[in-house]
Amino acid sequence: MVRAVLVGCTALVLGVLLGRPALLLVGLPLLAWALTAVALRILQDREEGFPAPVLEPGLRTVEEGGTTALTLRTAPGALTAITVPMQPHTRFWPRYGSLAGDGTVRLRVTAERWGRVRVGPVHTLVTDPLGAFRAQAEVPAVTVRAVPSSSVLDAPVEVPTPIGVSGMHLSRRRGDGTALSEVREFRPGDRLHRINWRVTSRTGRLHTNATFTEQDTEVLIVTDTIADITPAPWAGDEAPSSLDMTVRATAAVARHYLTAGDRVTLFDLGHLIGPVPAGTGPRQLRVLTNALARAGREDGAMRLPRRLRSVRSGTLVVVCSPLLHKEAIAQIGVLISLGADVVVVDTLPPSIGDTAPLRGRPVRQEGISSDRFWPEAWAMRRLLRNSTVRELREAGVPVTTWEGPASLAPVLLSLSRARSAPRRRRS
Amino acid sequence: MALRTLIDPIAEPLLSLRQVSTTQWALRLTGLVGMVLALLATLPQGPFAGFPSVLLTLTLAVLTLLQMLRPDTGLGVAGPLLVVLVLAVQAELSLLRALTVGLALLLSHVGFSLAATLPAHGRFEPSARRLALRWLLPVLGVTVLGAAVVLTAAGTVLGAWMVVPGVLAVIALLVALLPRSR
Repeated sequence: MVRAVLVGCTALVLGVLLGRPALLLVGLPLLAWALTAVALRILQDREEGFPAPVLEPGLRTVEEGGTTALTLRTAPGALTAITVPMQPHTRFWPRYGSLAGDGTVRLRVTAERWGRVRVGPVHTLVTDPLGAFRAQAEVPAVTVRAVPSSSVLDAPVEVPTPIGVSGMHLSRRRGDGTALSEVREFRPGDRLHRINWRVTSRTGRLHTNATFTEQDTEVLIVTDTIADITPAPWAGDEAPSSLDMTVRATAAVARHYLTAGDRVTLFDLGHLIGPVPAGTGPRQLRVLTNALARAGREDGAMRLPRRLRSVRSGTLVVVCSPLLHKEAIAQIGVLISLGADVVVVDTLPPSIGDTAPLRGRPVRQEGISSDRFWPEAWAMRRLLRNSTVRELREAGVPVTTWEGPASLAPVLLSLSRARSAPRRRRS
Repeated sequence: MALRTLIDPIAEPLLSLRQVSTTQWALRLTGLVGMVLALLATLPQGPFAGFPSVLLTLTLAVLTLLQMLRPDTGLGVAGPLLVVLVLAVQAELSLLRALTVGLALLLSHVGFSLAATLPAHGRFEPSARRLALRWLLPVLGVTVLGAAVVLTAAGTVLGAWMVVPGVLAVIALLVALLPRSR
């Protein structure tokens, strides 16, 4: 505005002083621009300024990879611009998070990774259509929660020892159920509709079908968030860290057993995810995934790990851990001694300790050799860890690496087979 | 390693150019084209005809380049003012050439004004483009009207006394149009 007025008026003054009408024509278009802007401001009653922009977030909770919208509204006829700072693991449309529109602007935000996504602070600029008069404001940031996508495990749901009351797992206890255990003589108290008339007519004595009961069970998921191990630099930006793998495995296991009607509870050895009490059904899945989404990476300071001191014997415990911290391994031992059926999901990023890039000389990353030998150190640490994994397997604890939904299927299948295997008393 | 040290400072700004949006390229190039047209109309003998022309061309080139990098810079007023001053000292200035320069300066000004509303990576939605173009029409209308008045009155000879009310009128216009802090 200042530019147009100064240049226009200068041309006008010179034209008047020098008596040259042609100079008036030089400044006339810019003055016309300025006059139109002022007239527009008066006509739209914006002499006191533009209305304050209103930011309306869309969905505050999305799934990992999901999209929500941020809508900024001012008034029709006002050129409205919104600019949002870029965030890691977040995609915007338009690509760099800055857009202008007529009165209303909608920005789309896609959360590429679970967790809390802080969008903002949002810088807004409202101007008239000619760009003459402007007002800027900063709107506080909006937090969007990306819950981990709970992938479907294509695996059986049988557990070794169901300990609940009523559910879908076949137990060894005889009672009211659907699976036939034996055909025996009728006893007082047996249900009449279970009488096996074929055997009765053959033997001449009342016989009844005895069945196994079906029970639900309690599944305890223990997460190890004591430390978040980032993947190796050569693994790429999209490679998950140990916390990512832990969260995704937890979400998948929780969904698997909640869908089967079991009770699922969560205990975190670190301090990132709050404890989640036992519950069932879709509501419990929402509670769990929301608790996982609330875990903040920035809370990753090392703190004293928590300890789980008691667990009901027969509980299926799924431990999601990178198996590096001795407290986590000690906790697995405690769970075994308490009589729980333990399965360990290894969430150490596969690129950590990978010996493939090692060539007997320092690994170069972006043309620079590190003099700290971190890849070699991690390779040796992984070799030490392998002995821990071997000891766990020898103790009867299945250990499987998390590589997506399919990776748990063999372990869960072996669990379902263990249901009918002879049981060994643990000392 | 030495080659990398030489190439990186050049490569990084070039790579950051990829982030400049199509909208900003269009607006800033509009501003540039307007200034180039204004320069060509101001110097009918050519931008490199003599030392003063070369000096004006280089000065305008630097100022316009700076304005392309920072559309909202205060230096943006210097280029058009320079053009007006050069036209004022020229002995011959036809009405048509003056109007051409005026319209070219308007084109440049519109491009840079709209470019200043967004960062370099910002985009205009179609609704924003329509809004801006729609309100340029009244500007052109007022320009045409004003030009008609000037052309009509151009032949009228007034006395030297007309300078005083003329200047006062311009000052009043300046005061009315300049933005005030509220």
